[in-house]
Amino acid sequence: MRAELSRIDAEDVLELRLDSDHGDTGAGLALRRHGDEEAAIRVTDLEREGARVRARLAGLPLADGVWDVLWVDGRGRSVPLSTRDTGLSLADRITYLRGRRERELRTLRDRDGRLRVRAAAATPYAEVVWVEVDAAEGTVTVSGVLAYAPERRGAATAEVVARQRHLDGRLTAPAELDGARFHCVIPLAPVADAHVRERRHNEWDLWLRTPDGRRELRLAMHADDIVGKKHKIVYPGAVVDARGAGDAAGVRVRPYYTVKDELSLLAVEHTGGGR
Amino acid sequence: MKIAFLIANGYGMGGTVRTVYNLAEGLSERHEVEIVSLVRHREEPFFAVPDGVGLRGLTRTGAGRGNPPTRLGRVSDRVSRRRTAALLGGREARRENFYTPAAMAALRRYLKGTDADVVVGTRPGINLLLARWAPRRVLAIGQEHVNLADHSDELRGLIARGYPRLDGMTVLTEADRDAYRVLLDADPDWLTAMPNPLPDRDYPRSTQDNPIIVGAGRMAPVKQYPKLVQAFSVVAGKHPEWRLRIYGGGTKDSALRRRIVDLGLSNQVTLMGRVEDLTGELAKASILAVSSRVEGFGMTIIEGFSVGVPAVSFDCPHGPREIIEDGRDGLLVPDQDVDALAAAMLRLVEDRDERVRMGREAVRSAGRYAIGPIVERWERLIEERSAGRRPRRRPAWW
Repeated sequence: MRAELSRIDAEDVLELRLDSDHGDTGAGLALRRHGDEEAAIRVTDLEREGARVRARLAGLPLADGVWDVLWVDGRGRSVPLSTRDTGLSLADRITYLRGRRERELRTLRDRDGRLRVRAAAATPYAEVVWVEVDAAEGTVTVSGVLAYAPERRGAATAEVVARQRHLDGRLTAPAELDGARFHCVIPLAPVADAHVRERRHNEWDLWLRTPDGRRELRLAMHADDIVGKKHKIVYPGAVVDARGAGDAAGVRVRPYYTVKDELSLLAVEHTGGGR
Repeated sequence: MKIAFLIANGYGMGGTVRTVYNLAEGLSERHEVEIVSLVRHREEPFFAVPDGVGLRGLTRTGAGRGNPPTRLGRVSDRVSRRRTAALLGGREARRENFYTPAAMAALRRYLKGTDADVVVGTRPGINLLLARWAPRRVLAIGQEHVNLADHSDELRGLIARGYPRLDGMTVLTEADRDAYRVLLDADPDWLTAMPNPLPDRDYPRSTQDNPIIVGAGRMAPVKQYPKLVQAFSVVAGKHPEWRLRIYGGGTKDSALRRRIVDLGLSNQVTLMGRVEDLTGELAKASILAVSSRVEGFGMTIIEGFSVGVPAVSFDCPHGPREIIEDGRDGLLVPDQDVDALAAAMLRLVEDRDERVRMGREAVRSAGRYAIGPIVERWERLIEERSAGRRPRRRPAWW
């Protein structure tokens, strides 16, 4: 049994397009915890129309982890469901971020073509979509969308907060919100001013503070399928002079992704060469 | 029938190892197949050995296996290395430490005692040794994974003298077959163009919905990724939602990283590194782009085809032209013409219908490289070469 298309929409409905209408009207789906024969959950809320299947996963007690998707025929026998679909739609992934959500579901296809569903706890964060470094102006501009945060409408002013890791430096700059979208310009001169030269690397972790001031959302890029962006995405740096530093060297600052794919700034002493 | 593949290091990664594993898997359906590795540098091979295929290493390399401790040992080591260099040429002999004195002795012993009916060499040095040392009862086939033009003059000279002693030879493309025929003045039946096979898998299929272009292959100057990024910048400027993902291992990517930053493409170009399930990754994309100076064969084009992703490629030597049918399953543009590569990418970026149509044709084209038909071609080749073999001349020395 194979699906040509296997997607989870923003309402956590698993949509399947099977390779043919298999006719077995009594058939259904079950999810089984990968590697655990015992833990299987039958999907009861299911619509079928020919080769199309819509299975509502929203209410199911799916623990965090990977689940095999099984096809259960009219006589109750189950077989693993294969798929030809990689499960990745970049556009759908961004749509999925909208609104409050406790749990994130994604479809996966393993190397052997088996369909899997991955469940993971979802916590609100700020999904980074675009980063610009302006070396001449000495700024880093970040835009993106709020993920898994309560829906909001209209424009508002928020704050981007940069925290100096292992130190107590804290810098802020205004951030604009428009619905779920955010946009902020981070000036780098204060990063250079606060640079602690005794530490070779000064890392600044970036957060978006909501207008009500109640929540700080980490800037990160999780929506696509790329894990480990640290060495995969390369941003330029900007050299900024520290105020009152006299003859001291400037500071080179560049955005980077941490091992958790969260966006931070790395500041190091500039040792000459091109700016 | 028992078929053995002789490979320099079957425990490592790389294109040759992967394709030898694929072919071995296909042949093992009806034959006994063994992969024999000159050296072994780790316990477990990088790729999983297919069921029913044997793998063995003739010698160990690595820590504590350096120079011999005695003076006599060192002298004989030097003599042996000099002989190897004379046989294989300096560059090939020094390659990766494949041809150590221990490996040479072990290979000779192996060939003397093997019960294989067919032994296939998989790189020039091994083919040259096979030509010299294979006993007459064994059918010796030399397989070339590299184009003749990419071998040094010295190696080409050794090939010209040594290869005619083989019972047959395979190359990857018709273009390379022509080149070898001129060099070796070979009988047409003796020399076969045999493409690499696609392993028999349940491949995913691109939906042509993701705005992703992929490039794939190791980080090496020959792949010319900075040129690919240059061409992509045209697409990126007009269609900011499109991304370029480059899959490939290796650390020699500083020029590429600089180019990405200089062109302001940090948000749109990602260096994905090496992945195990390449077809799974290719299926997430909509277009495969090839910007190489030369392709040995173009396996990634075929892998892209297998998941319904059309290719846009320079018409570079040697592979693309023999795989891509321009306008049907992809677009071939004049060799090294970056503007034309950009225009071709843009054409497919802006026309999903054409991508879908080409993707469908690409899947059909990939069928030519399915393991089934390729195994049958190998069986025919073995049968014909067994019937048509000439008595092998005795080696002049050794």
